[in-house]
Amino acid sequence: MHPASFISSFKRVISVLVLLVLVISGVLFLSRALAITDGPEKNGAFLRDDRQYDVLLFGSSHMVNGIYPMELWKNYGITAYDLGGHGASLAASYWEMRLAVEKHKPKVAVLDVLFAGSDYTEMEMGLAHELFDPYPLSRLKIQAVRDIFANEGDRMELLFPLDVYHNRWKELDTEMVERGLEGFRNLSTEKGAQTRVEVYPLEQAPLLDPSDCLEKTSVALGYVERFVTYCLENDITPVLTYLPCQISEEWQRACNAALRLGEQLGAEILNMQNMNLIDYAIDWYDDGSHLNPSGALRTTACMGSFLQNQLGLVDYRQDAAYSVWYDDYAAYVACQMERMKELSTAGQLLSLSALDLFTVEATISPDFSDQTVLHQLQSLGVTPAIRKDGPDLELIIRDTQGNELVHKCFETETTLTETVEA
Amino acid sequence: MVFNSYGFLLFFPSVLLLTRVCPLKWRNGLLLLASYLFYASWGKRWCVLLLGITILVYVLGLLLERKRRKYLFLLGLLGTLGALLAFKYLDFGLYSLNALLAKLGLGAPLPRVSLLQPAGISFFTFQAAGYLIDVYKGKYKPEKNFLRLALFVSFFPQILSGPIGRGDQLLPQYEKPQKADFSQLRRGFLILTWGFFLKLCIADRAAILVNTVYGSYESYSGIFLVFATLVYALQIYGDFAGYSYMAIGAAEMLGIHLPKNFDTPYFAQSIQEFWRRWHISLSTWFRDYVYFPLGGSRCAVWKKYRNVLIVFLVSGLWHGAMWNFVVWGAIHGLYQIFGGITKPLREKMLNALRVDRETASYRLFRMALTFLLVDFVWLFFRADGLGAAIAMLRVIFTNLTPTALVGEAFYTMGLDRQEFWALLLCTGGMTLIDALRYRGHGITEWFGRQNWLFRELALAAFMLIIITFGTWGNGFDASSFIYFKF
Repeated sequence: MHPASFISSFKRVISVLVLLVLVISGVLFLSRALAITDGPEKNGAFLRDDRQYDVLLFGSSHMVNGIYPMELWKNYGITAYDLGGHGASLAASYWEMRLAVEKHKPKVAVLDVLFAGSDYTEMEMGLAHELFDPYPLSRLKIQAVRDIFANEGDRMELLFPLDVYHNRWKELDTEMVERGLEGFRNLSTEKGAQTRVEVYPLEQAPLLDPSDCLEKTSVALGYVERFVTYCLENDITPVLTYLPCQISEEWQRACNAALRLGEQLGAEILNMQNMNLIDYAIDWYDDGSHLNPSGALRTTACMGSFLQNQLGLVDYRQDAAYSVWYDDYAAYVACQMERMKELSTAGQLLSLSALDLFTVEATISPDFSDQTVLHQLQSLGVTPAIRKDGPDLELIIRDTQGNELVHKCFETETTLTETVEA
Repeated sequence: MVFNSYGFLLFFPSVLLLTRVCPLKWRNGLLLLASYLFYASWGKRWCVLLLGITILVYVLGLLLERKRRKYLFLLGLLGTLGALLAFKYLDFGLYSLNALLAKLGLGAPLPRVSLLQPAGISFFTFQAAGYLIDVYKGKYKPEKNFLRLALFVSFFPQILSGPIGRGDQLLPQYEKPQKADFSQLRRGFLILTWGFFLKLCIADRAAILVNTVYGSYESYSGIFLVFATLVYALQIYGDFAGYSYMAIGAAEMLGIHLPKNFDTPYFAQSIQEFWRRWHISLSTWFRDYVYFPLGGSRCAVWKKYRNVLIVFLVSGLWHGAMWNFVVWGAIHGLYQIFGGITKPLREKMLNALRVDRETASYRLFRMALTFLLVDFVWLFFRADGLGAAIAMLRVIFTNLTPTALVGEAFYTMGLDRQEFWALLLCTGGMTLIDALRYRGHGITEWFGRQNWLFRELALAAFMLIIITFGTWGNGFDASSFIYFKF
């Protein structure tokens, strides 16, 4: 080749490469800057870090709010990540497990079978983004999206999130630009779990006997089977769990059927629904029967004990190779401290106080009669002092070093209302 | 599969790559295969129709070369344009006939025949018919290679919405295939990108506003309808010129040079000039195959005007089997007739008033007037039927209320403040580029002469602007190129 011709060809190749690099960089920037951050912030740490996770947790919002991996670490030395997704169908959970296992292969994969009675694979698009956006485009992701969603537009939107996010240019601000340049920053310190702080008393509905199962099969049950089979084939212990929740008899039968199916297939079963773990007066976050910290700590303890005693998972707390988990735990504690300072109602404060990071002091007036608060205090082991000339309720919450985090006073009008910042 | 779809973003680079790595002698075969695959994405059964028309014009072309028989020629026209008539106009004809019979109180209505219209039928039948007419007239010899003729009729960048090519322009390019060199590739890519900009940043955003207002015109005062009609001028230009640029750019990258279809039409200073700049391939088709055979302008004045009116009525009907399109065409014809009749008087007036016709202000005035005349009839083109168009005109003339469209009112037509300003900014960019082109500056050529790093940076930035500000993705109707339905 003539030297001039070679140089000319070389320049052409370089110019095409430069254009490609510029466009791809720009698209990556836009993808990060304009993205909805919920998913990447919740599960981004899992995909980014090089920790060893013995347990991966899958399921819907009930799993996200129901099991706290950092509490599993603190109390059992178990390394876990909560990959549950709000509104995740069992099909979505199955595929998320497949995607997650490609990054970190666990010893145990836990699946909450709440939606076992459903005959659909799809889920709400916004929530699907939260679930799938953190995972990079791959053949497996394409397979997952094609299996779950029928609509071509929905599929493309999930595979190329910029398809919808580009329209967020109108909301572009400095923080988004920084995120575009530097990547997602506010990664979950709770290892994917989300502490929902509120208290919502529920009347306990009758529970069916675990042997009362749905006789017909469902689409979701098919994915339960696939979940268990895949895990068994890949040396992962599958655990099907049934987290406590207030659901219809039809749904209870479906969950029972899922557990029965799992048992037949060789999965481990942990039915927390029928263990009478939950205090219905103070353990719920909302009427959708999501657990608050008070309830989640009970289910987390149950899970930890099961994983250690039944499945023999190792306690790594004394293992120097896992010292980084102590840093993670410190970040988790710092985050909960900050959250505590932001809470406003007595129900929220006492709900988060269930984490044993806090000590509570309470003073009440003689005629204070809020049964939920009294029940919460009792559950925390706090005996309130009684004072005649004070507010209806005074709460002082300290961290474990005794530093005061919150000092609030409340008066009972129609509801318990904060009066002055003490 | 439309150009602005993920499918095409996979399809086109694959075809491009194949044509570049395979031997040149395979190119026509590959392009033909790609064209039929592309067309099959709109309905496999229509490929049979496409193939049938191709075989018809191929056989008749060869027969006409041997024996120049009129009946063969008419048979060819019947086969090509007959398919168009059957699929597009049969039901319209029956509907109109029924309406007439009902008015006259004669008999029961005839049964309607609602045939699904094959995509792009108005374009590829015109291209095939044009070829047959040219061969019949002896303008060029018929194509003897079936593969080349089939590619001529079905070439995927142009099959759905043109530009309508001519045999003497395209067949030689298929006969002696050439690989696009690097500068052609770059030029084609730039044109393709410009088409995307027009479609995604202007047409589809303008469509949101236009659809909102036209969709419930009863709830808007006249000034909003006027404004939406002005915006529609942007929409249809961005949409159709955008498509044409994409087609031309894609073809250029494949080494095929397609004819220009738009040449800054809104800078035209008369209706006549507008039609030399708007949908050029269709205008010239009508000129060569309808207007000239009717006698063109080389006949008595009244005949010339008759010819003009016929051409525009047919053009209106070509755009859609609805009366509002016929009225749209008729008004354009009448504009030209009125312009022709009043020309001497206007010349006298301008002379008497000593108006300097070379000044920028005079040219701008003519451009603005032409644009307003064109835009007025876009209302008929866009309205959902003649009745709706008349009702909208009634609102405009009886309830204009100009003061209603101030301040925040601009953001009540489907676009929020940012979207509205994005549309304005993109329109500004488009107008600037068109103004430069109108003044004879070749933007693509100028761009090609720049320093390579500046070029790549500018092109990357432009692509990212389209990705960010374009109206695309799930939730938007990406398949609604206006001219696809014609």
